[in-house]
Amino acid sequence: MKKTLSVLCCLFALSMMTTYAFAGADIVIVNVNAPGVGFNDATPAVPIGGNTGTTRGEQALNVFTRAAQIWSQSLDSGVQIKVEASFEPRTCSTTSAVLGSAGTKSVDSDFAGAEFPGTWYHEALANKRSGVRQTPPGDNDIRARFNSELGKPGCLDGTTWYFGLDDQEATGQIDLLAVVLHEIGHGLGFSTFVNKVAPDPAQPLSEDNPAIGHEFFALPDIYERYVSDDITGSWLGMTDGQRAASMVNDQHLVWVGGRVHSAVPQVLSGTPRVTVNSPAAIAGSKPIGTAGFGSPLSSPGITRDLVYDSSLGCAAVTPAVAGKIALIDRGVCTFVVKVKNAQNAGALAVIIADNAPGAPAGLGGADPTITIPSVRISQADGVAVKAQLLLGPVNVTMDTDLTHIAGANAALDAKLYAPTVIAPGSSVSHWDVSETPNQLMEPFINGDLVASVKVPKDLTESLMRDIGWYPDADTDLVPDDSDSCAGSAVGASISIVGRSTGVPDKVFPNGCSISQRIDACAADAANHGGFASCVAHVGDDAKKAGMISGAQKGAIQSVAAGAGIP
Amino acid sequence: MDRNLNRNMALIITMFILVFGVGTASAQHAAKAQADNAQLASVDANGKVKTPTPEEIQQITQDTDKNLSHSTKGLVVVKREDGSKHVDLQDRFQAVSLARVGADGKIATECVTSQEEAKKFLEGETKPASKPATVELETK
Repeated sequence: MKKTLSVLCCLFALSMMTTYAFAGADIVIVNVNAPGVGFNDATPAVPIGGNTGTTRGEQALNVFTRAAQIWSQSLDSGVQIKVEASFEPRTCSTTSAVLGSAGTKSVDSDFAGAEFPGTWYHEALANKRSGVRQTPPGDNDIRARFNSELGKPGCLDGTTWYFGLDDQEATGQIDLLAVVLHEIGHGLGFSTFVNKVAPDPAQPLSEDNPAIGHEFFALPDIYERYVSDDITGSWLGMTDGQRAASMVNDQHLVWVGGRVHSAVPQVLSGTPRVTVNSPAAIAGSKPIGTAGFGSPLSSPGITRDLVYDSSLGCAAVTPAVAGKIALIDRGVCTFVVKVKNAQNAGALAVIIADNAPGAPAGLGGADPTITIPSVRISQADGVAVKAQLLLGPVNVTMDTDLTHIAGANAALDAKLYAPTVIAPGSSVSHWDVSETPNQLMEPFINGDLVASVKVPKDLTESLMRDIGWYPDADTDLVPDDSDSCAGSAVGASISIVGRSTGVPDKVFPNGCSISQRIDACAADAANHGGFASCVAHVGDDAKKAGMISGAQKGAIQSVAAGAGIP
Repeated sequence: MDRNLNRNMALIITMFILVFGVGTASAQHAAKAQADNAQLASVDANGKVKTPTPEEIQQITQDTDKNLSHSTKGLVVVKREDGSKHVDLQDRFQAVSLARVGADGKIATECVTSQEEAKKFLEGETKPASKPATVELETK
């Protein structure tokens, strides 16, 4: 009876853990909801947006699964990442709600494999770098608690979770996938532990009552290592007071990791611009408003002569715009009608000349069939351009200025969120909201996010690389870019033609395992003596590297001698 | 009479929001896309959009107090034989996503990492200096 019970308990425990193993990390969603609630809520639900779940609980769990899958495809780890997750009632009213929370459950420092000594690492990252779980097997690495009540009466009435997996949330829906993906990102490493909370003034400063800017137990964390103020320098060299001042130094707090730096031009947009190249009389950059439809401006952009259509472009646009940039006056019909007509006539882009004075605003409207870019210029610039067109060609470039990237400073370091209005402490653990396009790890869950953490959509994976989530497809603890042997399997006993040596396989610093080098010996040896000699060399190298003992070297050579190779 | 007037006011405001509160677009760069989850909020009998009350804000800060705590009081640095150190954070130092109805009747969300940020957001005082205002763009 006891045995049956324990078997049932094991089966139940297994059923509560969903493992999602992909190329890299093996991420487990540990469902800690009780039967019948949360992820186990059996309320029927209609499949939506690629989520095939047929109950509310199943759909919620599928969203977590998808988030785990997305992170798995970006991060490699030989140690399972365990997310202790629940979909449970959190505080909610008709006007406000806790959507969810997440974070690492623990931190480690000075473990084998740590890139920097004296530095706190998020648990999952510490496990990845060391190759072994730093905590007891039953412990989890990340805690995530999300609100199951959203959309129920009295909980943000009229607003519901969107359980689809396709980023197609509608008005009145919050994309659960984006929020889960974001919050798990914090748990995986996108957060600092530097104190942001004002100390109790009645108590002396101490580790229990630290000043704003004080490092967690007086040690930096791995995220903090890449936080810098582009006026006052790296956070690592700062006093608590300097860090406190820097964390509200809006537009000057930046991430200085090399991977993010390299990714910034690929991910963030340059500043859109229109430049008149000729004639000289009106040459130069013109103020513009960009469109909410069509494709955005890009670099190198489009350089063409302008063709003016004086008809307002509401019915059709002159075929003369084909292969050119169309100039059309604002008025009578909508911007999308004008731009669509120009597109139909073969224009590569459209400039709308305003019909009222003032700085040019953006172009509103929606038409998913519009694929060309369009902008608005001021009425004054429009008049000047049209006057020149009466005299001859006007050549224009519509592109983005990559020297002024939205959300990065002049050195192309991505900005972190440090608004001065939030005193005494601010986020730091988010990208700045000026980044364009919107990024997953900005503080606001924007509706235009796509479920990606990778370049060219997003900078988050690059930040994870900076803090130490290096690519390691075979999880042999040797980064892929310096790994000479793919698919190294460590841990198992070294075998030669099926005969076990009893010696655990290990990996050389170049990423090749002892087994792989012995296999190479077998492939290259002209005769058995050559094979045995080659294996002896491998054993010598492994012994010198401290990977095996002398006795283990002897065991390997003994099996090799009897292997009959070749 | 007054009650009918208020009810009609509320209806007019709701209709106004229904007509103009949706379908606006943001320019791709000039004005960043705000959350598409913006939706209609309920209005009170006076036609005023309901926003979080101090009591509701207090309830949320109580719920998130532990998650957003930066206190190390009671946390223990465990030193292992191999020289490594480990700290169980006891659910502190987490990030929390919040949602609130804004004065414009739309739902706003923000992820916060401290109670100060949470309160500012819930009280409607979060005005990130660098965030371009979301404007309703002209369509013609």
